[in-house]
Amino acid sequence: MTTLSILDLVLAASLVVALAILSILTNMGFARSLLIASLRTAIQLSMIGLVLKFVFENADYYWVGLITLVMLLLAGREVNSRQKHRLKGYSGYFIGLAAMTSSSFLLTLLTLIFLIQNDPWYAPQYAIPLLGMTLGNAMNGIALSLDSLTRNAVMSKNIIETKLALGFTAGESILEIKREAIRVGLIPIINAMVAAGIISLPGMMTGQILAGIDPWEAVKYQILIMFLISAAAGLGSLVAVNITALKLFDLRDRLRLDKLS
Amino acid sequence: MLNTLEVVDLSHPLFGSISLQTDSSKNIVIIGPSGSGKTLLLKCIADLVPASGDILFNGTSRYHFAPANWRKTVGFLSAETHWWGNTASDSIYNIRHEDLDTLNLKPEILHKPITECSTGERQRLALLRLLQNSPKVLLLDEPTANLDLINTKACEALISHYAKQHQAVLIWVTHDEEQIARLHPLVFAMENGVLTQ
Repeated sequence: MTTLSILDLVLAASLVVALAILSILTNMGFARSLLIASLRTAIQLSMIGLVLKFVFENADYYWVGLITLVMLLLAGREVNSRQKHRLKGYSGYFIGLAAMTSSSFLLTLLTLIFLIQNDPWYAPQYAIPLLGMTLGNAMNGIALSLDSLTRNAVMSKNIIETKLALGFTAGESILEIKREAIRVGLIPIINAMVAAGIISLPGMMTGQILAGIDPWEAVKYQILIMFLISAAAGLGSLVAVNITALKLFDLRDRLRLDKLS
Repeated sequence: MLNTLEVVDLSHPLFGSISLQTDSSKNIVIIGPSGSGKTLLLKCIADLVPASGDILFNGTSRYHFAPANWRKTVGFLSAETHWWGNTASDSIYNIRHEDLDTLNLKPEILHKPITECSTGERQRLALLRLLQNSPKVLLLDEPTANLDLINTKACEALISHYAKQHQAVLIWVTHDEEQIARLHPLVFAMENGVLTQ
């Protein structure tokens, strides 16, 4: 494998800087957010690189467990913060966390134990990248689903209340909105699966091929990952949308948008 | 036998404690300036908005009804109508053609895109949509606000006929003084969150 020097990365960074300068010259106003995002990428990835190097050298279950916990907590927080109308208090955070744990965490665990079957099964080289990929995608899906759910509940308040007034249960009155929310959450992964290999080469597979792995092995892993993340995103969205939809009503099946910020 | 509705110390931050007793032999009209809480009161009686106190239908508290059953029994018709699906037939499935006729509506209207129906047509369709549940209490929030006199009278006739047939308790909110004169009701006034007869 050809290794990259720091100079290579600096040259790559100059592309982003050039784009930022172009933004300033054409008064497009995205230079600042572009530069901040690029800086965050560089810092966050360097830090995770150091952490992974440390954990790979000390492959103890408690280090893997600790990183898993931190990743789950951060993902739960991220899901909540990406919504326009979020549940007040901590319940939105806990719903995000519950959805991540019951989907990404559980499915990654099953994949590690029954499919990859490494010894030990929690070997960080497998566990952390797999969890990272499922979490990242499920987080996206769940955040999109919940955003669609709460946005449409606010927008369709009158229709939901009309249905309730006509004797629909809370579940019946919000069913269409729930369906739409889950569909929206699954759009990115379905698009990714449809385009995979034809229009785009998925990132993980590209990375493995660049690192010198046999393409056929890389493809098998990529297929596994695609299935895993679509299942995680779908399951996570189902859990999050159903719990959040329940929270939008009270025990007397009254729509309670006052619970949203 | 008469059906009865009893509102006991119903309180909401926007109105004081309200008590009211009525039955299917009476006709209640609530009047009052816009924003005085008339619609809110009806929504609270339909248990669509939380309010402390209790509401009883034939002596049975709302808490002894599943929420959906309470609202099928105590039907609320909002002043503005809201629709889902493309046509009225997506939410209307059980009406009698005579009732369409009474309201001067043709059966084809059920299959016309709802966005192409006039406000008055939608208001009459919403009344039929409510009645298909056979509610025993009708909470009508300006049910004829967008109708001409002929259709207003047609709605009044249908509602009175329905109320007689089903022994339904009627509570109207209206601003129309001629309508009040036609209904011979007990008139209550809502002002600054206080209901007085």
